[in-house]
Amino acid sequence: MNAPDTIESPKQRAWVRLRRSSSARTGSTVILCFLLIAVFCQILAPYAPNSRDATVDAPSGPTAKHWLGVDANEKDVLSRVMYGSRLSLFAGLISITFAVSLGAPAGAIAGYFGGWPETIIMRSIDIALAFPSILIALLVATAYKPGWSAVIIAVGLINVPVFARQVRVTVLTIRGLDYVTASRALGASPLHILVRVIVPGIVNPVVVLATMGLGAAILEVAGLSFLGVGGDPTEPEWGSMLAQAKDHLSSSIWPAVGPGVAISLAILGFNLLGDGLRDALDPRLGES
Amino acid sequence: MPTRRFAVILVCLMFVACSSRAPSKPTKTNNTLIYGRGEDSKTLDPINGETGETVKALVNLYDTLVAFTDDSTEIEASLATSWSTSEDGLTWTFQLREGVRFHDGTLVDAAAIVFSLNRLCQDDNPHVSDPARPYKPNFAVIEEIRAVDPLTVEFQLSEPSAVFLNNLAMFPAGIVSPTAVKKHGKGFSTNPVGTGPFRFERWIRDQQLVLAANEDHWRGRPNFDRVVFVPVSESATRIQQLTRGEIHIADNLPPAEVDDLARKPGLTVVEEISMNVAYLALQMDKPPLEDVRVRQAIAMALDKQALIRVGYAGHAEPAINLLPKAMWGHNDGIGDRPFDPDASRELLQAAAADRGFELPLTLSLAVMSEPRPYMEQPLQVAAFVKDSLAAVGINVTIEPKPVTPHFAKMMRGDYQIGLAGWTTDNGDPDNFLYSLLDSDNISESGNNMSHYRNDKVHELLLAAQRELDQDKRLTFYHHAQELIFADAPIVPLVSTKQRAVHTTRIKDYRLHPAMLIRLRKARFEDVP
Amino acid sequence: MSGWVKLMQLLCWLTPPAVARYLSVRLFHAVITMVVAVSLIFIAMRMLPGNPLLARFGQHPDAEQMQRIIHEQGWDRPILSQLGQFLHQLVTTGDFGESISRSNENVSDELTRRIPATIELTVVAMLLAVPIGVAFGVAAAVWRNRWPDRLCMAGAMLGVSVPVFFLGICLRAIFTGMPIGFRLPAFEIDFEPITEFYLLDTLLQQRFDLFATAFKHICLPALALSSIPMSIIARITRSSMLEVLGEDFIRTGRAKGASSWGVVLRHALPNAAAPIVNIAGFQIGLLLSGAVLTETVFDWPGMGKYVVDAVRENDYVIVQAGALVIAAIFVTANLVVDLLYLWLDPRVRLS
Repeated sequence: MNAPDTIESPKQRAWVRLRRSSSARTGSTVILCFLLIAVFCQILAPYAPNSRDATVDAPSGPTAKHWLGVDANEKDVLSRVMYGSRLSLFAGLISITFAVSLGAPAGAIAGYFGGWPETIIMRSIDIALAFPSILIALLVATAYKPGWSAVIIAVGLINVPVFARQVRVTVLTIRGLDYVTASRALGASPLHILVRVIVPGIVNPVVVLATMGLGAAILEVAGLSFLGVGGDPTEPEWGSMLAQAKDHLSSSIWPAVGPGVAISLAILGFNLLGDGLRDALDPRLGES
Repeated sequence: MPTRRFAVILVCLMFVACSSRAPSKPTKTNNTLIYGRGEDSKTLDPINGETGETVKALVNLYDTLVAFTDDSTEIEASLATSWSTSEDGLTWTFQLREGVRFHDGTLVDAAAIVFSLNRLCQDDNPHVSDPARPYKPNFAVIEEIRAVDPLTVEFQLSEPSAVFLNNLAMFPAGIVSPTAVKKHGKGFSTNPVGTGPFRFERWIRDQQLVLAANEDHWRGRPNFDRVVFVPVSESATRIQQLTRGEIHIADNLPPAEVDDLARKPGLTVVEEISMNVAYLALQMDKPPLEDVRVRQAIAMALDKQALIRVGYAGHAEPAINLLPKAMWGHNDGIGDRPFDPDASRELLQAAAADRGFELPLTLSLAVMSEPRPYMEQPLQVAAFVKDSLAAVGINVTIEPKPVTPHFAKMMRGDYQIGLAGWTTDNGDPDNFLYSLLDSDNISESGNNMSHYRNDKVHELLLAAQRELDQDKRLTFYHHAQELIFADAPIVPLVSTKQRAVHTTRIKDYRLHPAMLIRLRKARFEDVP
Repeated sequence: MSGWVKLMQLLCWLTPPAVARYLSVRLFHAVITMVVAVSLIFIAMRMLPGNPLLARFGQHPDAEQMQRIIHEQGWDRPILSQLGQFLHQLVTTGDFGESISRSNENVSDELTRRIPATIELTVVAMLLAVPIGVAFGVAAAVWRNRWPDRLCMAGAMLGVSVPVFFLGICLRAIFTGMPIGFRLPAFEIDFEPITEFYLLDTLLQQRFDLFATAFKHICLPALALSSIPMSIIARITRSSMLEVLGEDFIRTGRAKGASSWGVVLRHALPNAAAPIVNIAGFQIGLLLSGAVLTETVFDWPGMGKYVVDAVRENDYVIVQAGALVIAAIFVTANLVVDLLYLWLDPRVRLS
């Protein structure tokens, strides 16, 4: 019974662990559903996101025609939620990519070289972390001309420290490992060590963090557009849908339920998958 | 164990707190009105006031020399009982009401009037704590104010002005107590003293502003003992508080919600026309909007009836001119362009062929992200404009911004098409046509956001300012409106109906067409 | 000023030298961080396009007057000289200056009223989050992999996933009987706050009826705000407890027949406390930022809403003051947590 385990590579073992993890399974199912909806929403959605139904008394709750109700603009909530998954997933993905591509190198430099680059990088991270991220994002997003790109940049920026810190810690750990010290002593070039040892070592924690970060990014994008910083409000986007529904709460809560549940589910999906990935890839990675 | 026990107790406490519904409120005094509004006053000093919410408190705290009547912008006597103009229209003389006292007990005399209005007009007045006086330019025509005797004030103007009297009825010309200004200095804006029907009691910014009845008001004591203005920015919260009886009046609510509230027992909706207009400004310096056909095409692509249904829940009237229909001077002879997408498309195509631009055209639409009195749901209106223009071959991208940056951007001319609106200040057409469309007002901070330049219109508007004969002025304004209509620098959208919801306990609460909130006559039905 | 010096002297006298050195280094770092951060915000906000003075003129701007005011206030001078003046004024008088977008409004006065509102909300939220979170975490650890564990952890997972602004909307819709929008009803005009912490003030003035009312007003926002820290604390407690429960002394204790709950609560929980305290403190800092959204949903007149509104109007005086205060609270909270951590777990070395 132990035999197959011993011949498996760490990668295979991780894969088995991942497949066994119920949270990873649930999470990836949820995300897959959202991805499918995002890709095929033109087929799946019952209506176009901006088509109005003048026959209903808007806003109103679920009916056979409109499963999640109709918002104050006489538009079908379900269709808008489905189309909204496009912008939310896309914005989350881009901003996290942005954060990783800025944060990971910064963290690696700080961890690998130490000295003044580390001081500068870690001090700036301290400064950034002293402020509520939503406030920084709000400032950044208002500074640019309004639009989703401003929101994406802002959310990307506030996630940079998360990756920089984790990567630095990981690099520090790897650098101290015996075989790295040994290969350095044997004269391996820093570039060689960086490419062959360090980079593979930071992939796992970055993947775990990025998965959880996607959930956070979706939350932050929605939060910003809820506060009124965002692009075209007629574009279906969960945060701005919630913000608009909030003014009509006393008539009907339904226009808020659709986007609210969608945001929660998407974040839940990424958190579950992230949890599963962490257990599988890097069991030592702490909770915080 | 202690942790667990504590947790259990806490959870229990929470449930107890949540499940026990609030009992009917034990009101402190049965005669206190609680007024829920969208935002707080920004100041209590009349010379610094600007926003609608600020004005709400000011008109109840202060009196002016002359005043608008309770249901129109006609002028009636207030602190002045009579007035006269010299032959050349340059000297105005006012006789003051005798024996009126400020809330601090000091007497209103000519010196107090001179003191108050000098604070508003003079550049380096020592008694001004905040030099930002938005309405100062409206009084630029005043050269000197003299106290002839304790009950006579004389104004020397630099040129005849048809709007002078109306301007004196506006809130910035509220008469303040010189004693209080000198005593409080900078603190006057938080310790205001006037002669109005209510006197100031206390103000905690963004929480509550408390006014109390002025027992000795010259028009008689108001009915409420106290009025508490509470700012609650979320309209859903205001509605919930209204239905729970925590506030008595709420305004600036989304139109559809008001309809909903009207059906609830115990609540009454008051409605009144308002002298305002919402419009779509077209930046004429930005190609291809310099072409009149493009502007007309935009105007013909908008179905105002549908807009009123979608953006205003039916509670507005289509606007044809910049000047609201309810106001004196409106040119009723102008018929609106029909809603005609086909004709609109043809005009666009003709313009595109001449000017060599491609269709579909792409335009950005600037919109404020917060409600305004003339546009309770700006995002809905923007969405409607976007959909309508898409149908005739114009792709619109919406750019929302908070109110201040939105108007700053539009005044700079840094937009293509944008939503805007105006509510009357003084009830005169000049305040719409000259302020919003005269070439004098094209600047970084000018309200002619379309950058509309028409020499003939400019001439007419200036002549109308100086002419004191109302009939002649009427012909000037009618003519100007015709020219403006043909040029279509803006697309007038609607004039709204202002509405407020209050508990049925309140009686005699009326709205004013110029959107002044006067609480003097309103009362609780169960309070004698 | 001398009061502060005395306080510092007292602290120095009370604390062992190692801790004092550690404290002073941390404080020094914190101050430097905040000065740099505020300078950055100061410079960045002034480089933004847009004129905050416009907010005071609304739709009636007057170029001539605005020019005069900008000149009189020195807003047309080089940014660095303005920054110097701001920092000088801040250090010498502790005054943040006057709001630009609002007439005659002293920002320090406004903040002293709004900070307590936010802190009160945060404290109540944490008072909910910590005990409930710890209780759930302990339950999950004790009944590991059985239904209480699964239930608690599923709840915790949901708790971190539901955005606070959606949770707020749901809570409002469910508990329609609960008051929202004020800290106290508007007609309680005879109540004069002392410390601006209403829950405390009402008790101090022995107005128990008002205390109940104030508590009701704070319930829903605090509940919404507490969901995320509660969930995170539950998860941390669980993992920390699992680690401790696996250790020899606990197993020995259980083997020796000590009552199971006695061991868990008297021995395991204290040993598992350090990471819980750590995360709880960190969450306090985060709550202040989460409060921005909660305050918006519930119309809570706190600091977050004040600063967000100021961002809208481009009022940099308010934004930089608010940012500085929030940063200061965040840094202080972290410092206190570190000290607590030190006290709970002396194995941690001072570095």
